[in-house]
Amino acid sequence: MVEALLEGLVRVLEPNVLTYMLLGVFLGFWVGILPGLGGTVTLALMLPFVYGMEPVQAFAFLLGMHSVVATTGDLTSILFGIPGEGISAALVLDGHAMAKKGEAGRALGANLMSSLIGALVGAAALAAAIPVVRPLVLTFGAPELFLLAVMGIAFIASLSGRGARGLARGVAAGALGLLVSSVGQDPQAGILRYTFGQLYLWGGIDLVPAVVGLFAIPEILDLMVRRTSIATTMPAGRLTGVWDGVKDCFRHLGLTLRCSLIGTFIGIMPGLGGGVAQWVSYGHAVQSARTAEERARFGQGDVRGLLGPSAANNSKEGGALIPTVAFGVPGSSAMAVLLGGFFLTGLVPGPDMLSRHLPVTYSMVWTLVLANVVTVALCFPLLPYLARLTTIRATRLVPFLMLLVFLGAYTANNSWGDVLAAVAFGALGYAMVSFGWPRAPLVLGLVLGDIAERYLWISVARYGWDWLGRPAVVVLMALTVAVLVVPLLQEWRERRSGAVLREAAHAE
Amino acid sequence: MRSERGERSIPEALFSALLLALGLWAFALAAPWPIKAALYPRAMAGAVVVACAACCVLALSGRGEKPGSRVDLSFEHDLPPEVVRRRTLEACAWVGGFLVAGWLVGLLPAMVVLVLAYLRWAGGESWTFSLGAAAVTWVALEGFMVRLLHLPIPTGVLGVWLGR
Repeated sequence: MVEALLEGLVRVLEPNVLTYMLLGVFLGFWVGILPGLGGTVTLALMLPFVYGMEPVQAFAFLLGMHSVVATTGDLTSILFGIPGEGISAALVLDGHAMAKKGEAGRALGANLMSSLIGALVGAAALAAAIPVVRPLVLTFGAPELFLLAVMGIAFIASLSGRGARGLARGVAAGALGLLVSSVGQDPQAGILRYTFGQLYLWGGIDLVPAVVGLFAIPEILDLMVRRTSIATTMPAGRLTGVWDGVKDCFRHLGLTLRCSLIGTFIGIMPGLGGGVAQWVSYGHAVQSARTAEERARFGQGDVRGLLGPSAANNSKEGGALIPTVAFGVPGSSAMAVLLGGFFLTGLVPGPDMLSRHLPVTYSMVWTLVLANVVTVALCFPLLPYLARLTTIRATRLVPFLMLLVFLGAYTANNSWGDVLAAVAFGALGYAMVSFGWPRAPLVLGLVLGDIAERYLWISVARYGWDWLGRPAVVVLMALTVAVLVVPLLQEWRERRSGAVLREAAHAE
Repeated sequence: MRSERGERSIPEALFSALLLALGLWAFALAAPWPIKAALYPRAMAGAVVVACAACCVLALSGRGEKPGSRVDLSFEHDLPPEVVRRRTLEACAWVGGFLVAGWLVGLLPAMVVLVLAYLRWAGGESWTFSLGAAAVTWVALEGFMVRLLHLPIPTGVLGVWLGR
């Protein structure tokens, strides 16, 4: 095993392999920054170029490109509030709020370091888990995956605002997201649902225009109204705070590591993907707040709200590779494309990857490690220039941000319909922000809708209603109820103890 | 337009009522579908209706909210409301104008026109700067989207009418 690990490293460090990896990193860097042009699309575009490459070269190129997309996609979320990738949307909440407060350097430093830690945890998990992961994946069947999706929505809804009103808004937004996800051709009966005769709606609402519209358009409209720079306060002279951000990451190392593990675990589960990992880890970060005052800082620029999703976004890649390599079951759409790379280079995922081709498998681990180290090392010198972008006045920045939004929406499917969908979701996002409704549950509902419906039907078709009695399902249902009810009970107790104290004060 | 936390908010109640109506409509549209296709949307539409009804009642009563509990962006500026309203309408007009321009002349030219027009008239930049920025935008989009990625860019109805 150790020999294979070292052989994998030696092969990745060969000059031609390293060159392919650096080329991949370069391409991934720019793809990540452009909203809409996702890592999966780029993997698909680049797949034909791996013909004739050695397997190690091909995976150094493809994985090098794919693993940096998550990191650089975070940059536009933090700086402009425009998610570079669908998986970077959670970073808008606290990352962009920090940039607006003039803490762009600190936010970017924290993001890069937690991304690196997340990637290292994911790679370590891939290296360690391959021999033991089979029983874990087989434990989670369709019923458990359905309940995980439901719990994800409940989790983020309960954390989207305190009090009954906050909870109702969160649940309503999550349910709306789940309802919107049902637009398109129904996968069971082939019925066209809510398509209104529009061909564009047959395939459902794409996540990219929805996320870009929901998050970016309200930010841009706000910027057009304020007519100031994104950062209203920014220290003159040298960019400060980058090292504070790095230190923040180590100050909250426990949280970063826990969120990395959450990302890895969700990455392993086929079909859940990065969209879920970021929100669950954001929810975990919010829940880690000890007091109500501490919790109220989330969404206003709390660095912990940035560390969790950044780490999970990068760690999930290592996790997603585990079922792909071990069983040929892709953990995400990007992994499904990567699976094509296996076949193009003459490899068959499965037992061979754990025995005969073990050095190739370990070369993937090293590629994940090296590509992320290289990206972070390249990004740090660029941070002062990137953070300066937040001080450019709005009137100069707005047309380019609008261009990024519409280009991002269009390139998702090369369709005008996506541009219109982005504008429609932008209007919805603007109304939601105006009325204090959280947008995160809606996005999570959109992400999880397909998964929830698919696994619900597999569960019913396979087990009837007996699946409701499965032990893991019962535990997950209890957890879901607890996630919704416990905050309300806590609030009721707080109110009651406050009333008792007031009565005691009156009596005295 | 913005709701005060912990206070009654008629606009928020109306927004909730609008989504409630949307949920009811979605529920009704699913009625003729076979159960396989209808179960999930009906369940979700039902959840939207119940949650939005709760939101509506709570917004009208002004109860059930803790101050400082918002976990999202908030529009907070020191500008007078009429300025905010005027600038919001202007911003919407720019977005609408871009969509119309894109439909008429195609996506790529519309993007270049947007950069030029916004910088010159909304931003008050010089003609030299605005034209320079528009030219750089054109080169970048043409080089990246058309030459490198070969993305199919729609030409717009004017192009179709002119037989291009």
